[in-house]
Amino acid sequence: MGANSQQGIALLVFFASFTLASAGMFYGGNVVFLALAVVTFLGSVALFLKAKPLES
Amino acid sequence: MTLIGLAVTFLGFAIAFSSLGVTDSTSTRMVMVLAGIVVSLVGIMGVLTPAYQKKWIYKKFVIALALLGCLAHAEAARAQAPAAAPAAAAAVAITDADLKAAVKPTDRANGDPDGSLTGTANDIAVADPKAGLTVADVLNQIGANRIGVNFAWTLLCGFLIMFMQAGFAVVEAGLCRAKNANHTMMMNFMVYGVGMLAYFLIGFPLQMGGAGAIANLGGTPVLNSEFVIHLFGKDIGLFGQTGYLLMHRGTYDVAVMVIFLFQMVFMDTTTTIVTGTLCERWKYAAFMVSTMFLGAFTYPIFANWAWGGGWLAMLGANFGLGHGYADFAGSGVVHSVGGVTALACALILGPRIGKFRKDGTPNPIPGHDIMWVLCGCFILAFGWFGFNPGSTLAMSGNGGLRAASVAVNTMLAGMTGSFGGILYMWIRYGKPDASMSGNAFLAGLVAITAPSGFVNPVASAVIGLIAGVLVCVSCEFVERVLKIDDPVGAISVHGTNGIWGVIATGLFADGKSNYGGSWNGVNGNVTGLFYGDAGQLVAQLLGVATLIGFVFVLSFLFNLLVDWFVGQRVSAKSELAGLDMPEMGALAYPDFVLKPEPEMTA
Repeated sequence: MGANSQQGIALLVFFASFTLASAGMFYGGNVVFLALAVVTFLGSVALFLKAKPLES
Repeated sequence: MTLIGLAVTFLGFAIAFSSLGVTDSTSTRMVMVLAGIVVSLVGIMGVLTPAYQKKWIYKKFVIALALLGCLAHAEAARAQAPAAAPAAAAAVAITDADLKAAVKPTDRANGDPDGSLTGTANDIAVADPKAGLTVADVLNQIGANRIGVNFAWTLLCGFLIMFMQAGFAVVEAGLCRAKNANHTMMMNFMVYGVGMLAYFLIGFPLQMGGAGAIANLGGTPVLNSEFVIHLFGKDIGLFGQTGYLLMHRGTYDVAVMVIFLFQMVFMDTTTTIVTGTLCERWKYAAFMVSTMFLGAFTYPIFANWAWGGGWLAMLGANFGLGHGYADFAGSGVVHSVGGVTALACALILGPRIGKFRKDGTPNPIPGHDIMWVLCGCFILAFGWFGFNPGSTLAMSGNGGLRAASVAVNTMLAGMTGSFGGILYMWIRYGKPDASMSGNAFLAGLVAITAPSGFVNPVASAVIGLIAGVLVCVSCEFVERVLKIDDPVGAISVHGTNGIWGVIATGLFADGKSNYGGSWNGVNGNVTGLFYGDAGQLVAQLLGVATLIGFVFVLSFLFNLLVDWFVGQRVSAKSELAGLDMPEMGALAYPDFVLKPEPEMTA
C-alpha cells in the first residue's frame, strides 16, 4: 500500500529525462540528447503507469 | 465542463493581452483587461464541479466590472507629473599625492585597538608593486567594493530566504493532523531539492537567459538571449535561451552565480506553497513530478515575463503602460504563481475525506500543533527580510539604500496584517483565532512583497491591514462557497493576497523610489493610480490577467497530465490511515497514540 520501489525507479528515469534535456540544450539543441530525453520521459510515464496498481 | 472552463479561462487572458494591439487608450485597455480577468474567473468557476457554482457569483462579477470600468475612465485622464532630474555631482580628480598621505603599515606596530588604522589605502590591491599605488588601483578597488557589498547583501538575503523553507515546513506540518506530519514535513524537505534540480536544469535559463546586464551585480552580459516573437509591432519576449547547467555560453560567471542563488530560493518558495494546500492527500511521487514541472516551466516562464526581460516587464517601454509590470519582490511572480497552482491542483485532487458533509457544509479539521504554526510564521517573517529588501540586489548605488525603507514597509504590513486578521476573527467569531492570526500576518507580508519597493510606510500599513481582513474573507469564500479544501489557507494567503499586492502597487506607488533613474527601461519612478499614472495600474492588471488566465491553465494542464500518469491522490485507505506509514514508512510521532476519527470515517 502506498509508495513503492517501482515509483522510485520511475522517478529516477523521470529526473534523467530532465537532465538529458538540459544537456541537449547545453550542446546547442543536440538532437541525440533531446531524443534520449523524450525516450526517457516516455519511459518514466510507462513506469509510473506500471507502478499505479502496486499502490493498493 | 473542465475543458470548456479552461478554454474560457484562457480566453480571458487572450482578451486582456489583445488590448495591447487593439487600442492605445489607457482607459479602454483597462476595461479590456478587467473584462479579461472577469472572463478568466468565470472560466475557473466552470472548472469547479457544477453543483458548486453559484449564480450570485456571476452577478457580482458583472457589478464589479462596471464599477471598475467607471473608476478606470475617471482616473485615466489624470496626467502623470514628470520626474525631476537628479542634480549632477561635480567631478573631482584623484591624484597620487592624495594617496601618499595614507596610513603606513608600520603605524600598526602596537596594534589597532580603536580600529582607526585598519582598512586604509594599504589594503588596496596594487596591480604593479613597482609602480606602487595608482589612481587606477583605487578606482578598481572602489568598483570591487561596490559590487562586493552588493554581492554580500544579495547572497545573505538569499540565505535568509532559503531559511523560509523551515518556516513553511513547520507551519504546514503544524496545520495538518499528527498522522500526516512526517509526510507533510518530507514534502517541504524535498521541495527544496526537487525544485532546485528543476531550476538548475531547465528553469533558470528559461527565466533569466535573456535578462541582460544586471548593473548592481557588476553586469551579467552573458544572459543575453531572449526568444521573442513580433506582435502588435513590438518584440514580445517569451523565454530565455542561455544559462543551461550554469556553464552554457559563458554563464560560468560570479555574477550569474549570485543571481542564480537569489532567484532559485524565490522559485523554491513558490513550490512550497502548493504542498500546504495539498497536504494530507497528495501522493508523494506525484508531488515530486508536479514540483519538477512547476520549477522547470510554470514558474520560470511567468518570472521571465515579469523579471527576465519578457513582455510584461516591457509593457512600459513597448506600450506606454507606466513602467511595465512592476513586482518588486514577487507578490505575483512568487506568491500568486504558487497560490494559483495550488488552486489548480486542489481542484484536481478534491477535498480530504470528511472535510465536507453531505449537505456541503465544511467540517473543521484542526491542525495538531498550533505552537509550530506560529513559530513558523515568525521564521517566515524573518526570512522576508531577505525576500523584500534583498530584491534591491544592492546596498551600494542605484538606490540600494532604499532597502531600509523596504524593510520597514515589510515590518509594518506584517504587523497591520496580523491586526486585521485577529480583529476580524475576534469580532466575527468572538475569539482571536490563532491560525488565522498567523495567516493574516503572512498575508500582510505577501501583499507588501510587490509594492514594498515603491510605496511609503503609511501605504504599507494600509496594504497590510486590507490583506489581513482579505485573507479571512477569502478563506471563508474558498471553503464555504467554492467548497475547496485548503488545509493551510495557502490559496488565500498567497494567491488572493499576491494578486492584491500586485494591484496595490498600481494604486499606491508614490513615485519616490529611484533605482538608477529608471525601472524596466522606462525613465522616472514607478507611480501608481493614486499618484497620477493610470497606465501603471493597467500594467499591473495585465499581470493579474496573466496569472489567472495563463498560469492557472498551464498549471492545471501540467497537473492533469501528472494525474493521468502518476495519479495525484493517495487511496482512501491510505488517507484514512494517515500518510505517514503508507507513503513514508514511518510515523512522525511513533510514541503517540493517534486519536481515532469516527466522524471522518463515517
